[in-house]
Amino acid sequence: MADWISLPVNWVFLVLALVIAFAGVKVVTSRNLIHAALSLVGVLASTAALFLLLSAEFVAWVLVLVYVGAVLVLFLFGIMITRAPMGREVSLDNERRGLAAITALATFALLAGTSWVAFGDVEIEGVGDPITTGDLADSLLGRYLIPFEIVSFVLLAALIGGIALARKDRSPAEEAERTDA
Amino acid sequence: MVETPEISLVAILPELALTVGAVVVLMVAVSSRRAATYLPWIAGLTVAATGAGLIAQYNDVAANGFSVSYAGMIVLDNQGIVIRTVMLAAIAVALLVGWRYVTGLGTRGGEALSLVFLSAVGFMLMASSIHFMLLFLGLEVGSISLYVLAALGQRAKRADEAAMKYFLLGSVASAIFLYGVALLYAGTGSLTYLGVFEFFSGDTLVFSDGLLSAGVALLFVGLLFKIAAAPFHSWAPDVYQGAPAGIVGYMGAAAKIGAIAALLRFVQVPFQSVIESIQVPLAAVAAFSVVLGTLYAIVQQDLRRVLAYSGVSHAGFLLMGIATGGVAEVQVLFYLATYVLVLVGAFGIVSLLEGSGSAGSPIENWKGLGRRSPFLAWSLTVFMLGMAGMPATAGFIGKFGIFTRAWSGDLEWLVIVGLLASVAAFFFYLRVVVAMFFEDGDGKTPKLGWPAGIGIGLTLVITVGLGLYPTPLLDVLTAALG
Amino acid sequence: MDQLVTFAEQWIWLVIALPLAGFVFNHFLGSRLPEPLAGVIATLASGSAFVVALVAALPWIDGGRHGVTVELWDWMPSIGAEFEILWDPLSIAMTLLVTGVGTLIHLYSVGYMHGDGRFSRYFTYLNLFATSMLILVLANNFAMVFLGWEAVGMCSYLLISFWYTKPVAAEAGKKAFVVNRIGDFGFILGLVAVFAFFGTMSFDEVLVEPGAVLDQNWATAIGIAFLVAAIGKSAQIPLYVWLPDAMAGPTPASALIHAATMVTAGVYLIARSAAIFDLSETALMAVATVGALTALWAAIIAMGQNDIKGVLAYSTISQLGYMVVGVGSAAFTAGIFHLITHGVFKALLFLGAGSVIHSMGDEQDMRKMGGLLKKMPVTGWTMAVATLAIAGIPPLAGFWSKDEILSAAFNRGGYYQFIWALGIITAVLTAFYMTRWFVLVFLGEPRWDSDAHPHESPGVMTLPLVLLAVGAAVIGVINTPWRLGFEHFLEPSFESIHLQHAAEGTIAWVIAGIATIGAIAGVAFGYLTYRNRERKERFERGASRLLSGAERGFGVDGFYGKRVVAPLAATAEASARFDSKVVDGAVNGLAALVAKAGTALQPLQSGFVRSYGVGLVAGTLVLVVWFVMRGV
Repeated sequence: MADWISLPVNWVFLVLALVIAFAGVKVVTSRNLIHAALSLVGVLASTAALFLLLSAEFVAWVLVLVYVGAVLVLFLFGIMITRAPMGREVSLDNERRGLAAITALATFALLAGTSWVAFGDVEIEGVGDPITTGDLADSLLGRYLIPFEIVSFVLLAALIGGIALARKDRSPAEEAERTDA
Repeated sequence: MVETPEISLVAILPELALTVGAVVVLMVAVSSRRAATYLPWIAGLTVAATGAGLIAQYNDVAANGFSVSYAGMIVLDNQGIVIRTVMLAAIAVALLVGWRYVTGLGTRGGEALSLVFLSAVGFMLMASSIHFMLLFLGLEVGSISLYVLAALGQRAKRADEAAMKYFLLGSVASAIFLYGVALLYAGTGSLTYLGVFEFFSGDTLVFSDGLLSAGVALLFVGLLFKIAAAPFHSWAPDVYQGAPAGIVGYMGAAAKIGAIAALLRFVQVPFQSVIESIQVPLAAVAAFSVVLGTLYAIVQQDLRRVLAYSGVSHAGFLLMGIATGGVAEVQVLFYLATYVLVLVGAFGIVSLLEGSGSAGSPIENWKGLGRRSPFLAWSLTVFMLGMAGMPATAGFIGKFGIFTRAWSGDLEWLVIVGLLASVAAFFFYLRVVVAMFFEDGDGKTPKLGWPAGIGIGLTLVITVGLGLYPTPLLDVLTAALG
Repeated sequence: MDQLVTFAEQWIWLVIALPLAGFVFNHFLGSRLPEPLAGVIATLASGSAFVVALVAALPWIDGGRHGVTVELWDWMPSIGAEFEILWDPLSIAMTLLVTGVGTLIHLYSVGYMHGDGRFSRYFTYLNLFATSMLILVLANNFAMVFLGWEAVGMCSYLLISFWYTKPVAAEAGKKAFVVNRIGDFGFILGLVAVFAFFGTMSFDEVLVEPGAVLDQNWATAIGIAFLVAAIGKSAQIPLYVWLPDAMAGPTPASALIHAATMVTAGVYLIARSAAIFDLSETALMAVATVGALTALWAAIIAMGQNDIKGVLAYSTISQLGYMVVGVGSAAFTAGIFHLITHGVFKALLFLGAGSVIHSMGDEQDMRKMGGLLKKMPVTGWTMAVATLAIAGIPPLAGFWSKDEILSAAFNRGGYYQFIWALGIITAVLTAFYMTRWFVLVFLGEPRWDSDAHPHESPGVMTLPLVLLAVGAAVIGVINTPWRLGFEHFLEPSFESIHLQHAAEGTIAWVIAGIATIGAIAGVAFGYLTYRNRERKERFERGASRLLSGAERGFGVDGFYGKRVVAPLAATAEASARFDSKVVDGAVNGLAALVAKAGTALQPLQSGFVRSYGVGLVAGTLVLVVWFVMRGV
């Protein structure tokens, strides 16, 4: 225990973990959409910090750039632009939250339990060894070439979906006009 | 320095052909005004090219034996070729019977076609992947394409609802699967099938195995969701009911093919040495699916939902074969091949009757079809009998093969559950037959175009032909996998 | 002779192919042909199959010759199930019955179905049935038998509900289907067990020396499984309830399928697997008991029936019981012998009943008949022959075959003598209710409705009657105690089995005498009672409780409906409710939930996805917990 207290990294972890837990609960309990989204920012940012603690700097920055920087801003824009309710909103709750809470707690208990059983207080070596962005790039274009390519397929499919679903169908008249032109 | 993995084009030829097809379709649809006239040709060429790729692969395996490429991620072997051939057949039949759906979409037709090809790429990769990461990506490419396909029809609330449900639940399942991959990696230190196999064969636990076990369970859940095995089936009825009829048969078939291919490899390689501990839960899920699917199917009033729940029970039968631990691979593949074709064919008929949109298909609508359109009515009858496992159809051979393998694999109780369910299943399969021939009604009279006619006829010939004379296919499968 | 054997080996497939060709032809072209032509083609298809079978059978007629197998193609080689024909005495006998009686019924149907809107469709089904039944009896492995078994079942449902606009017919078809499922379950179970033990389904390997593989307990288990199959198909207790309802189909179809051929498939199955039953005395006793009880029970019910076909339906069940007793006493040849004779005289009875119904303008109530002998002499006299034949009056066919069964049962001794006693009682009742049937329909005062104009049926219908009547009179001579020709003929099919033979010497005469006296007494009592109105009324008053009970079939149907079907339906409904409310809730629950939440939620985001998600995650948790507890 003394060791634990003397290591500052543990204190940092504790603070981050508490922030994540608190913000996570807030995301689902908040009755204000904006607050929920902002809480999510907290969760993601703290997670990024956790990755930094593990010396996984690339992943950490990707998390910040993509999720905090892009996705969440998109969320917020989405909420503001559409006519989604802005203030407190009772309808964000529903009567099954008890069931959901039980399921969530059971999942937590299971994961915590198995992690505890699995690792106990064994110290695992080498977790904090830094992986440079260069290493990552090498393996993406080397060993993981095929998966890397396939990821682009995922994006392609999502892209087609996004466009096809969002696009308005032309009416037959417009279609004819286009053909004439 | 970047180490280059060994690159083998032949190992990914069919996927390559489909990818090119998907991209060309997309380009043509966007850029040409007369895209509609080109689409059938591009589709046909793509299917043909994929077939040629499969033949090239087959020759390669015949000459050189199986091979592994891309840094131990992709295997080229006969089992993968067979599964991809099944996939190709499903695409071919689905496009033939559902062509009206593609053209009916107007400007979105090209996108639908390209998504069909893309999803096939994903699920085909699942069949040849021997790496969990690649497996996950294949699953995602396939699944995301299917989510979009589900929503792509005419704007109908029901279709949107179905697509949304499919997407949300599918994402949860993907997350579960990915979590499983992560835990597996944490536990075994490897993401290749071979590495996991070696880990389980040896005795080199990094830590006590609770987390690893949880990881394995989560992996299986992800795949069981895709084949709609109970209790992970809840999405299936709504999706089968709400998605565009012209394509939903293919959607069900493709997801089953990909996930079954992966499950089959699971029990063959990575988890082969621990098959005893995963056999019981797999068998339990199989029994649950068979019973639940049959029970629910009996009380459905809509043919689409009947087919969905019957799909749940078929997933159970397939799992029964998988649970034997890889001794029933010929039987599973036979079952899979014949089932997916019949499924696609049956939904083809649904789309001919109800239109390729999201309209439901209550049994009421089928009354009297035997008079209005004897060919379709008889075809559907044969498909239903095939699914039920009537002798003289391929379904019987498939079911029987799986039953006998499961029986000799010490799963007697499961066989008895399966037998009971398949006896009861005749009720709901024949409900629509009774409605078509023995009840009068004056619903719509479907118009049968020649592509749909060819597609349905082909499926019909295969179902009955393989029921009476399955030897060729069984021989090919046995020789290929032996 | 050798040439004929070669002929059989080369051409026997035609026996299946000809009706199949008839089916295919009529299916595609039948509706475009003028009416009788479709029927004539179907009749020709069946008739030529009979001719081929007859020629191919010649080398075997003298007996002592072993069967030949003819492989047509590989079907499922991995499980020893080729598409292979077994042409041995047992299958020869069945084939000749199916094609012979079948052809006459085809011919008769041309007249009977005259004017029906779906004339050609009817013959399509009839040919399809013949094909399927021939596959069943000519099979050389259990898988092919099962193929035929399911296919004849299909044809049976199709023909029962042929007039599907009548709700009775549709209901009856459904009932036959449901009840037969239970029997089929037994069959599949037996099938899987056979395969599990022998690794093949071929008769060549399974039936030669099953004792080398099966111990007695498993032989019993497989035997019981096949017995369950037979109980379903051959309408034995407790699954007989579908057969009386099956009479809703066209009468000639009832004659062919629900009297002469298909329903005997269960008996055939037991006889064919004789080698397995031979290993287990328990299985045989179970078979015999089921048969004897069914025979008696159905005979009692037949006494109270007032429907002209109803009597015949219950009599069929009762006679099937006799056959089952025969095979259950290990007297397989006797059982098959009765199967053949019954096929002839019961087909005759049904065709006669059809002729009556036809001429009475679809009247089936015997209380509105009487005195028809004068109006319909051919039908009447042929029915007299048939009645005496089924009653067991010597020297008509039924006497010989029934006596053979009862004599064998008695000779087996012990428990089987009790079975024999039940059989004798049944014989008396049979003679009584068949005489009642004949008297009510053909003798006495006319009791017709005023608008009935009974007349003799056309020649195309009476010709089969006459031919069958001749058969019913004389076919018994193929197997008499003095000359056991048929038994000798069948013996090669039951070579390795301990066949139970009939009694010999004085005791044989005594047994035959008792049966004959019983039959004559039954006929006399029936005649005297029903010929005279006063005596009839007195008898009916005296036995009113029994008769009214019998008329309702003692409420067995109602019992099944209330105690078996209703709970099952309730279970299915309950699970459906669970499905729609808890797990699935798609459309029905939607409004309710939205209303309850009382919110402005979009119907599409109704919260059901969340409940689906809960199901998904809960299932995952169960699986994960299981894995974690057990370890990988």
